Amino acid sequence: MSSFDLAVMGLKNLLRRKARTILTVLGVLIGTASIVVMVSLGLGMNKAFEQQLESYGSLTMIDVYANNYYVEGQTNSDGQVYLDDDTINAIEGIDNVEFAIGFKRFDSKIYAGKYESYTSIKAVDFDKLALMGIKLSEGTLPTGEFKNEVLFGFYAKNYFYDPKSRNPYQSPPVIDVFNTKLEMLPTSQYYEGKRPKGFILNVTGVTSELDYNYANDVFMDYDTFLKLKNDFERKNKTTDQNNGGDTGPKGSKGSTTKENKYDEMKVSVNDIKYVQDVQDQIKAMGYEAYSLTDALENMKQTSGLIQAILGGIGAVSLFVAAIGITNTMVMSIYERTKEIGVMKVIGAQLKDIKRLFLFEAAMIGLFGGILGIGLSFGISLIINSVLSGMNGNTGYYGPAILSDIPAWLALSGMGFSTVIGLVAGYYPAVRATKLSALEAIRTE
Amino acid sequence: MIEQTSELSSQKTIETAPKDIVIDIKELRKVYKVGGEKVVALNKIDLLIYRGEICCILGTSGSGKSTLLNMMAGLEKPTKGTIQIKDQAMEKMSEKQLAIFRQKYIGFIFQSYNLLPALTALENVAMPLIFRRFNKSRREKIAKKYLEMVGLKERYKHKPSQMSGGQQQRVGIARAFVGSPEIIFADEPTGNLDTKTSIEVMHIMWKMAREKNQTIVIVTHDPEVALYADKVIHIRDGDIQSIEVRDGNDVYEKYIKPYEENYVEI
Ligand SMILES: Nc1ncnc2c1ncn2[C@@H]1O[C@H](COP(=O)(O)OP(=O)(O)OP(=O)(O)O)[C@@H](O)[C@H]1O
Ligand SMILES: [Mg+2]
Repeated sequence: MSSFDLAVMGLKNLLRRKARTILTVLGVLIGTASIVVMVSLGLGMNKAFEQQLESYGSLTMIDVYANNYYVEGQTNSDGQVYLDDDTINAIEGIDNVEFAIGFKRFDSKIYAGKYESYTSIKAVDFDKLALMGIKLSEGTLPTGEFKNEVLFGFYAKNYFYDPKSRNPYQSPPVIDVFNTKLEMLPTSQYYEGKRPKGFILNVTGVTSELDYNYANDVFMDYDTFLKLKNDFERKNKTTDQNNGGDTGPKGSKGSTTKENKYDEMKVSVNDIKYVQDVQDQIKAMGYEAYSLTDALENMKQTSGLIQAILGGIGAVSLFVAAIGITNTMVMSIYERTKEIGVMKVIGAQLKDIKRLFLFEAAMIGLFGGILGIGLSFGISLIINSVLSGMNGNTGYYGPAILSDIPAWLALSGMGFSTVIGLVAGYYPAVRATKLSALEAIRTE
Repeated sequence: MIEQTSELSSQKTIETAPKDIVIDIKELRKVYKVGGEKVVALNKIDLLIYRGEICCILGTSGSGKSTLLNMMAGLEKPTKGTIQIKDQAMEKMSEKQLAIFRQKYIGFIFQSYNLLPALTALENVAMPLIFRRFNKSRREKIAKKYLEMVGLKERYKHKPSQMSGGQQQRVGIARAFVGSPEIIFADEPTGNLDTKTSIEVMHIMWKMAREKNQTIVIVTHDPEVALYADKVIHIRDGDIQSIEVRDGNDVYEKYIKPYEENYVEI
């Protein structure tokens, strides 16, 4: 019997017993919908977690630090590692690493008219900064077009104060960084009265308020900044008063002593699934490395457990539906005993009979699955709109999506219900093949 | 009527002409156990049926006719003895092999027609061809031809419930013949029909079987039906009492030809 004829015959059989087919399909529908909705809640939760983590920082970024804060000066200690360009090259050589970028904080002061701010400059390679995908609220990333370009963290704008005011920290001024003349001194030294001449900054952009990662930073190109700093120190012959005590490679050029060119590095990995691996490799090189995957891992386990519990609740109803299918098919066999017998006598093969019953059961599963997915989308929509509506009223800023049905869930929901149909139909199908043709003829 | 009643043992010597043996039954026995009691349905049956023979198994109710037929059709396993059809031992075949065998070689006509009620006459007749994986247009073409042969040209689209018993049985006959099986078994094909319709049905079966030299085994308790047979096997209490063999041409002259002259249209 060809598959096509079998399908036609099976569908006709199902249509012949409409009421029962519909009721059985209804059972599967409810079972599928409840399992899919439960899983969708779990997934929505996962997504919410991820969104939350994402707001703390990119999930594919690894923060790297040298491990030598406390052994400073102990030049010959074993396993001493430094963050410098060699490190960047080494890390970029690891598989799946997109790039590594180094940062160094330098003390500085920025003057804006009568206001000033002790904002440190974060020196960084601007070419690489462009790769970080930093979101901006205004302006552009540094382009190299202007002199002394800087990128402002959106919160760093708020650190200005008027030193002459009686209460300098009250009501900080709103500085329009694009249209205000900003003068930067690469030192934290306090000047009473007259201060040396600084450097005029060109702000190209301000980071987005949605991303707190770079909120307090003022980025400047590493080489540009070093040059300014050297210039400044030569002109003013200041005794170096940097808190870090570490002034970069300025004074030690040509010496064999390695130093930390950077105090922090970020490593971008091309896929979240390799983050842990890359992180382990960096640690093996002797660095400290942190990423959000540690937290993500933990969170995934928790949500996996919750998903399993939710899914389990749904599975119970699908299990009940499966019993419904089996029951329907067994009933159907009783009703069709004669028909099956006749078919056997006039030339049906055992596998024809078996496939026919399996097909019918699978179709019940599939129909139930398709309708169940439809219902799930409806329920999911209601959950999301009702709950996000609630969020709006309370002013709570949280994930808008609580129930998430991705395509794979919809498809596997249908697939699963079909498989349930097949499994539930297996026993009746085998039973149908074992029916004696003779009994079938005799039943009158 | 020429009556050649012969003893079983001498049957082979009488049949001198070299004929193909289609069914060869030896020492067949069937015992049913009902509760603790044994019911001997068939005691010890030896029987040879040749290609193209139209056979009747004639006997009273409970004599074991259906039991014998069912075992020939592979629907039941013998307690003892062998059934060879086309040199294959039916009693040794698995259910699966039997199903294949039936599809290939056997057609079946039922007393109560056993058409599938949801299907039209045409679909019912085409059913055996579905199992043989014929495509729709091909099987409907063949099914139509057979429905025409049994005189139901106008009833392709009728459901069994919309047809008389005689018409339903003719659909049943078309269904049994549609795959051109070598052997056709019929258990009381006229059992639910009146005399006139019975004659009609026997006539059709006779004509169709002769056309392709098919072998037919008909179970009946009606001696009128047995008149159409080349070989009548009388059965009583699970044993063959006697076997009557006739010349097929005589049957034609006596019963088929006059019928055709009287009823030109079926
Ligand atoms: N499944 C069974 N279980 C027990 N006994 C059976 C079974 N089938 C048949 N018999 C017995 O075997 C004997 C022969 O039955 P069978 O059906 O072959 O008779 P039959 O000649 O076809 O009769 P009828 O003309 O009434 O159909 C009967 O005594 C019957 O009771
Ligand atoms: Mg009988």
